[in-house]
Amino acid sequence: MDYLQKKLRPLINNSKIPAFQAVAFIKNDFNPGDFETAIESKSLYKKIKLQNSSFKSIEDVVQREPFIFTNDIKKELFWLLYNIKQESKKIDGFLLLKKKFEDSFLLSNYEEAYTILQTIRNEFGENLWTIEMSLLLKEFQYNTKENWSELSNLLSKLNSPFYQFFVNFFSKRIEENMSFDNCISQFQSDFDGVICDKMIKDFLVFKSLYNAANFDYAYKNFEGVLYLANMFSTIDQYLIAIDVAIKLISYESKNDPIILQFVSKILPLISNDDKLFNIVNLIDKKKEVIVLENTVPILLILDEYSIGNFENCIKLCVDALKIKPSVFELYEIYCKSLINLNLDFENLNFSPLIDKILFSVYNSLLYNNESETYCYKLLKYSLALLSFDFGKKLSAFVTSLGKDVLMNHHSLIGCLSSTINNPRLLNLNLDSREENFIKKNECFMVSESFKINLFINGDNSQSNLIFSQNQLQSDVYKTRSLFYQSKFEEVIKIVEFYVGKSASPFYYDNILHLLFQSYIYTNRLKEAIILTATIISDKVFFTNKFNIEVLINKIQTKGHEVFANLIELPILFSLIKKDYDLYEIYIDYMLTYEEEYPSKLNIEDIVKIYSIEKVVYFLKEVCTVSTIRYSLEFKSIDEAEQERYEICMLLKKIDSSNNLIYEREISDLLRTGAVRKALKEFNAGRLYVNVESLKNLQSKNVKENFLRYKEIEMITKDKNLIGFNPSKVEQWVNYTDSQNNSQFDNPSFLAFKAIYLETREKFLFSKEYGLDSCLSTNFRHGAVKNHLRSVFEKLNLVTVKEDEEYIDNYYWSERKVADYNSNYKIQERLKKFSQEIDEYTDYIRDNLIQIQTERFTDNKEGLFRYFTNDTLLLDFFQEHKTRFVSGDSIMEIIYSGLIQTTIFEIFQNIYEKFTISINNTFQKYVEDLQSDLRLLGVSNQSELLPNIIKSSTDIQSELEIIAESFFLNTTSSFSLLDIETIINASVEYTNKINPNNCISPEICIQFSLPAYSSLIFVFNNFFNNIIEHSKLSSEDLKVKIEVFNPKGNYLEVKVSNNISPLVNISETQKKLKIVKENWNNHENIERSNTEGGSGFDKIKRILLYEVIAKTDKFEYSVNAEEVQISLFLPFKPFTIKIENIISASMATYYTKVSSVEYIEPIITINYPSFVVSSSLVVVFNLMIENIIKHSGLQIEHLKIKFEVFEPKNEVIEIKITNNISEQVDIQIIESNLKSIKDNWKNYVDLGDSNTKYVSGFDLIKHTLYYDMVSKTEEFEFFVSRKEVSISLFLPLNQPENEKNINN
Amino acid sequence: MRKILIIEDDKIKIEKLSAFFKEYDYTIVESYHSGLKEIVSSITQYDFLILDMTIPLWDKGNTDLGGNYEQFGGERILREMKRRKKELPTILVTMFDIFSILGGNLTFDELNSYLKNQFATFYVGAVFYNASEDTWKTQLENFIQLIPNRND
Repeated sequence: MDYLQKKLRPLINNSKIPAFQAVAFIKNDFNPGDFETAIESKSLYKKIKLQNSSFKSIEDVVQREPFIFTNDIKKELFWLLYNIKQESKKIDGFLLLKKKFEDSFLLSNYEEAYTILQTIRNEFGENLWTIEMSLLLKEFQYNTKENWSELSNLLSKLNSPFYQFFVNFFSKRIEENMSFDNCISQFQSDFDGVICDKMIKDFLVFKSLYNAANFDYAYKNFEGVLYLANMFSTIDQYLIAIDVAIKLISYESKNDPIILQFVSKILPLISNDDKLFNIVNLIDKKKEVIVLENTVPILLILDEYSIGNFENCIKLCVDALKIKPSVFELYEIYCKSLINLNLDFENLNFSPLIDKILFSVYNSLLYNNESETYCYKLLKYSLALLSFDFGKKLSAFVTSLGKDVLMNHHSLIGCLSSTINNPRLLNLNLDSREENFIKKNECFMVSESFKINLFINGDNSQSNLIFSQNQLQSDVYKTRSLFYQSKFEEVIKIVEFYVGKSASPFYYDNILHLLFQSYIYTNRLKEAIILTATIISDKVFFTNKFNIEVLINKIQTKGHEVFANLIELPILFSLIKKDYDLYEIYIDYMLTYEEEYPSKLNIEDIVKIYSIEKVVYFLKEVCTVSTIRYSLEFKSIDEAEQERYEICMLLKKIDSSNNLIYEREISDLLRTGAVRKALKEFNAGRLYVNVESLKNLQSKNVKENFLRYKEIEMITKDKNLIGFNPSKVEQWVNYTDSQNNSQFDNPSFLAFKAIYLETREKFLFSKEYGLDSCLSTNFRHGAVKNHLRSVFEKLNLVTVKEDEEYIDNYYWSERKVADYNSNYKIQERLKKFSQEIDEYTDYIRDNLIQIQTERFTDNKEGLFRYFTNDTLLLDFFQEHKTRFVSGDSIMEIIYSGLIQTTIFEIFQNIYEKFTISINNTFQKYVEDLQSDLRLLGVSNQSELLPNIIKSSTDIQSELEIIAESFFLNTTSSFSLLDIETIINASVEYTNKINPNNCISPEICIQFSLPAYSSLIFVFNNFFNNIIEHSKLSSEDLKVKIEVFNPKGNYLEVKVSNNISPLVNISETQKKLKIVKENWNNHENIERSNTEGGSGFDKIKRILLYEVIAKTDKFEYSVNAEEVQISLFLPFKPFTIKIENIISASMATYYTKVSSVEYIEPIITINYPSFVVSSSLVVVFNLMIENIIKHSGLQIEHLKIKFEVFEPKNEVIEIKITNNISEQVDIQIIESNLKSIKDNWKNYVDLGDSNTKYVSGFDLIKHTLYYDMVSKTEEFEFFVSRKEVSISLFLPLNQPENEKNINN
Repeated sequence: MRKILIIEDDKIKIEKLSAFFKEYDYTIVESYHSGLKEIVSSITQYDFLILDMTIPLWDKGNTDLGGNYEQFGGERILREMKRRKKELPTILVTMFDIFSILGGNLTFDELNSYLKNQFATFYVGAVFYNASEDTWKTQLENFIQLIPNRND
């Protein structure tokens, strides 16, 4: 004492030391045991220390002074102790009411809980706990809206950032409909946004997610948590201090003496906190065990369970839960007893909340495919109730169902938060406390559950131990005990018996876990592999307790080749390995069959060795495209996907219960393949000059000029005859000077020259079909710039301009690639790079992708150079004049020359320009950026440098792709693709060139029709407009595309998107009004050649001249939330020849099937004048799909024959015949077709076009009946061993058909 | 004349390597599949392999829309050689001195020592290729001298 007085005196007597500082000095410099005396040495110190220890109302809540941080666990604990002791009565009173509140809440007596909460507030003031509970009650008693409203009210009153953070998160964690994962990610997002030191971060996690399962967090220490607790009310301080004490105990025993000192001081003062007693019982070696109030009655129930009296348990639990709803052990025992007796779950009906929790506990213990869902529900309940001891136990329970490495830690928290002396503590790892704890609990050794837990812990000395009457339960206890004693061989001997047998799922889970672990410990890797794969492929039983990483490490150490012949090995590896890592394992197994095509394996034989479940799992989860693509057998992604398609077809056969899953995957594969194929074709056909249309445009003029030419020729009679040599075309260009030659004045030459120049003018500058229009819409308008920019955008190397300034590159500024000063310079350098890339791509677009002729010299650097002069023209003229026999022939020869020049010479130059000189410029920009950033000290740990290096190769590839797309196409035979493929391809294409603004539209197709691939550009223009003008990020942007059923001669395609409130609606309306008004004005179509013009001018041009599908209709609507634009494509019912429809159907279907060569069907038309609606494509597509699905043949072996017969009785028969595999069961086909025929006249179930049809024939019926009004009542089929024929009958006297025939 | 297989897709690097190996008999392939196929079918014809690390899975035109780039395609070639017991002396020539991986970056030296450890019997070493400098040529030359002729 003298020492203390000595230390205190200078402090008390020195009036210059402010009291505040003196209190901080006490905390920092005094022994924790002296805090109380020191603080009480001066009333001012005490006042300061206890200041604001409770708050009367929310408005009064302030952050208290935490004084100095000592970084000493004992000091921090004892600093809190002073306040706790001073206000212990208050705390104890609070704890009593807290318990009552929690019971009322769990019993769903929210009114009563509210009254208790009000009492707590009135008596003890506001604190974090009361604030959270007020939100909780609002959520559960009312709804989330009330929770949010309360949150808003609280946030308006609370100024402290701590309170605001917690209140905000509490509100989220109790939201009933927010999933656990979402809640955690919301926390993570809020948490990441907080800029503060680690101590505060630790505190935020501690108070928000105390022992939440599935959330890993490494605390620096808990001293900081205790220190920051000072900022809150004394009640909060107490709750935090006890939670910290339990956390520390659960991790290790080294802090036990300090915690014990702390707890011993408050134990005499606090009687309403079972956790205090649990702590003392565990860590106090001297004190006798304290028996908790609930222990005796609850132990009786646990004992009943231990000996297998499950019926009795159920009854006892139900009764006990009504009065002790906070005892979580009852929930577990009740549900396990039901399951042991194989009873279904039934609500207890006295508390909806308890029923919900029980239902989830019950289902989580069933260990089936649904269990994980219920575990997550429990996790969410545990999070919502984390401030209840019940919530902490619930969290510990869910952890025990998995394989958390911190399970012991969670279980300890659970047991210490228990309201009983928990026997389960005996089978946990208690560290150095174990021996003493067992000794202390000897008084409980009359309890069967205590004895069993001790037995499980490896203590065989128990006398009078009654094992359960349930053999499995008893064996589980025995094997757990043996396992604890490392008697793995004995464990294996007992539990192997149960594998594959029907058993209570949670005991089965226990047994399998013990068996797995025993295999691991005894190095029986093969058995462990087989066991794991058996469980993984089991569709009924589900567990996630196996520590697969350990097994895989052991296998890899030994060498996986040893187990190569086991199908179980790839199954096991598929759980945590993918791509090549899985392929290595997979291929070793496949090679034991000398086969690299899984679809060709002899499945029956393999099923005999293993099981159907394993084979299905192997095919489904291992043999995916991402695995098999490494096999040298697959020469392209198409071939790998084709094999996956075959695998899915096989899976449909052997796992028919999951047909829907496989059909969905098949549909995805077909879609992906079709989109890829469409984009490849689209890219290849990007530079397109419609020569046929140009010839038609010119025809009249040329005919006239040709006659004139012929007339002149007759007069001049020039007879130098030389054959046309296309290989000489290179002589055409690059001559800039005319030679003085009298023949240039030859009138027939001049007549030819006039035709030539007109033809070249049309070829290059026709506003409808010319090269420049195509370069404008398909290259200069965004495409090339976006393609080049996308390379750098997707690697986050370029930013955009705002107000003439490049914005900061947030991607890298958030990642801190260097120190603060360098970061600024790095940002500046990246901006410079953005500018370089943009300026250079603008230069390519504006200067290089341009046309030059000797007459049109504005674009001096244009790469499309079509220079000529009299010398060249005269040579050409003299070479070919004998072949100028008609206007058509002269045009043909000139166009051929122009095309060949474009293809052979200009294309070659452009290709070299892009892949060499343009590439070199980009490489220089990239290299300079790289070396500058290295000099600026960019960290080796950031991804910035690898991304820059990668851009160097990526830009090369992109330039090559762009260069190749300049290959000229002149035929109008674009692929016909179905509209859905076109839309999907447009989305894919748009996303490729806008990697940071991807869209994922909702696509609704009511009516499928074939269209030209150029339509991809139309949608791309639409999407680009939306991305640019919606002012929304890709996460918020919602785009919908609807293709409606045709009405009259129109087929409406509507594109809708939401818009940001920042969009100027009246401006948008004005623009769209102008578009609509000008929609049918084609005079200024050349505006589409003006870069920067409206995207709608381009759309108009493409629809008019490339897709050949523009109509006079255009509609739009704009409101504050949404913009809708409708295009109307032409729909001409009953105008297409039947043979064309058949070809189009086959072609559109085959575009969906990647990597398969198109097989021409045999088409026999006996009535050629029959014209039909384009909707028949849908019908034939469905027929072809059915054939492929049911023929049992690979597509390449299919033979399809279409026959159209002469009409009989005003009806035309269309017969479709296909061959079938010998493996196909023709009886099934016959019976299916019979049923279709029997139902052919039944219209009842047809419904509208949105109905999901069960069979393809329903949709065929629908299309014939509604879309085409062409359905008759006849349907025929014929099935033989070799082929199947189906006959559809269409009415000849369709009103439209007759009219069209006549026309 | 020594025969070399080069697996490389970067056009500029190909140009530089072609110039470097102009005195040699060399074959260039550009993807994992074409490279591995060549090794499997014709390994005995080659003295050594010049390997890039980041390569496409298939040759151009056979890939997916995104190009199917394999960040560690070169390492997969090495693993396939080991698995198939077709071990061709290999020199890695990469323009990356840092590789992004989950949870951080892998440096050139770290990658090199990993490869040395995993493929000790046929992995010769790694050369950091920098287009603007010529030091890579000396390093490459040094490694080549370590490789015996296939007929020796």
